[in-house]
Amino acid sequence: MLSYIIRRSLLIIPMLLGISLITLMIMHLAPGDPASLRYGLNPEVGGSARTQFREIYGLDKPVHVQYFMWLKRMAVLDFGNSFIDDRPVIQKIGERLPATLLLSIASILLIYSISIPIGISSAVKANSPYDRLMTIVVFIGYATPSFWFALILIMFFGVRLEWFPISGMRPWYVDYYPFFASLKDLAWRMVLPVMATSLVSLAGISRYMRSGMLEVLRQDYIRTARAKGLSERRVIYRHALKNALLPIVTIASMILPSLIGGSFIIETIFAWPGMGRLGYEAIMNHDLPTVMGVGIISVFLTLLGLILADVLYAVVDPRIRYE
Amino acid sequence: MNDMFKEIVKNKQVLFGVVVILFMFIVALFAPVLATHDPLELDLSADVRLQPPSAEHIFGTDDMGRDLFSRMVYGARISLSVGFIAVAIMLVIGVTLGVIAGYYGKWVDTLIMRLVEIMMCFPRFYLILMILAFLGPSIIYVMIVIGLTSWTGLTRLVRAEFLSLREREYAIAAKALGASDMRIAFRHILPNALAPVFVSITLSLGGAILLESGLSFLGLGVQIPTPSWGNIISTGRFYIDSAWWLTVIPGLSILLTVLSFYLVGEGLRVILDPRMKR
Repeated sequence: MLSYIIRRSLLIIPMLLGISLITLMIMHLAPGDPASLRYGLNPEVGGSARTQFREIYGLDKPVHVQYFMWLKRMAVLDFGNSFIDDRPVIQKIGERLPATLLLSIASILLIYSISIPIGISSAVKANSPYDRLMTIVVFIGYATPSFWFALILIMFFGVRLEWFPISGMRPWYVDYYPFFASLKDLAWRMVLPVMATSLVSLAGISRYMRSGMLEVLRQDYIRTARAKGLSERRVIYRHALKNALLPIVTIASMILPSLIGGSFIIETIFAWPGMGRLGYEAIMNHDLPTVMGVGIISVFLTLLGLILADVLYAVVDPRIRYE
Repeated sequence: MNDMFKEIVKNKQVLFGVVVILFMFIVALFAPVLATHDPLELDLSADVRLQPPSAEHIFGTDDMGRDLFSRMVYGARISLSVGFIAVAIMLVIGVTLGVIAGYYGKWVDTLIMRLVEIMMCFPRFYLILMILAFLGPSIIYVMIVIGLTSWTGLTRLVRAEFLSLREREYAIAAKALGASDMRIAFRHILPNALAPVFVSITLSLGGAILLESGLSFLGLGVQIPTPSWGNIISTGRFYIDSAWWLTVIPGLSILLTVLSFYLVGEGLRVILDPRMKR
């Protein structure tokens, strides 16, 4: 098992190298040089100061030297300091990451707890009116622009009904709440953003679950179970379900990139202090080091999710390990 | 072909999708005729700004007193053309790389597939935001960037088809007859791999329209005053309490259009795939 994990993890090294090349290419799309991005038209920073800035960041060296210097810094997660407030980017990301992870994990839980039952019941009643209705429902979710859905949620549940707060994660007064009350406040504030992030992914998981279940229901051991005279309930929940649930584990890795991608827009709408909003603001402010840091961390999280899913899959299905 | 037409009419989901898409096309094509007002004409008088739907302005007006219906009609042009041009770019890159990987195999295949895996690790939306932020917002860049970042799925699809099709007798026969690689790949094998490509095109059209709306909403896509469904919503969000039509109407149009492309794509998958028939 351990050797499997190690072998699988080693595969990310070539991936990371490729990713770093693409990122560097994008970085060079930025108009002008970093010195002018950093100091703009600031008249105090003259030609010699700008030359010094380039020297400090090694921008006067040839491209391949720059690449290796950059790679060395990436390896220790040193993304430099933000152009906006001069704080280390990694520190800024560290502060924001928990909020994003909280939202993502809650969304994954919600997505799974809705789409797995939909997938199973659709497969059991395949091609029935119920199945067709559910197909349409999840497709509508898939086709809904998440930012628009977020606005509609705010409009109804936030503004009209005033059921849920519409922005922020932790207002200052929560500091004076007892522990459980502050937890409840947080949960309350998460409701709308989690709903908005989850809608898009319902379709993928439930369709995947449906086809997996259909596949299992066609297997011989299901026919055997039925022939033994077991009740249909028992056949489905005891015999079929366990096997159909296996591959769904890996799918978490499929929704992780889309959750992180979605966080950029949803966190901005709900003023959620996560990495997505940090990234969006950095982009809008041309804060190059932060933009890159958020990008690399997002990719890194995606890769981590991918490996985690593979390992989990090997844990639940021993056949995989020996391939 | 006739059979396929019958299947489409029989399948209500696909029929619904085709009708909606045709409708949007007609709207986009005849935008100047259909628009009741100039979509860019401002009128800041208080009795024209932010008016709810009425006989004069059937979809109401926005914060600058512009007629929402006319803006929606012109917005359809933007959404559809972004969708089609982005997908055309995706098609060229995706099919070419897929054909090369699937036909030649070996190290070329490994190289291309590694590239696909790397591309798939990037959160696509952020990648697009990054590039657009550096290049500056523009509708042309939106089309190009969406196209450049969305080919990975198609490449995998075409490659998988080629891996199995290149071993077929007709491909081997063509090779024995001395046909060039290009001829075998594009004239003999590709036509047989088109079914999944069509499905992928329809689904990607929906995806590209959805992406454009998100980018325009964030202000990195189509720039105001040029109307697009996404940037109408981005104005609407500030009047969510007082002018629901600015948010609801363009959102429903995006939803309806994207859903139609998805339904057609999903329907085509069933119709074109003989394995799914019973």
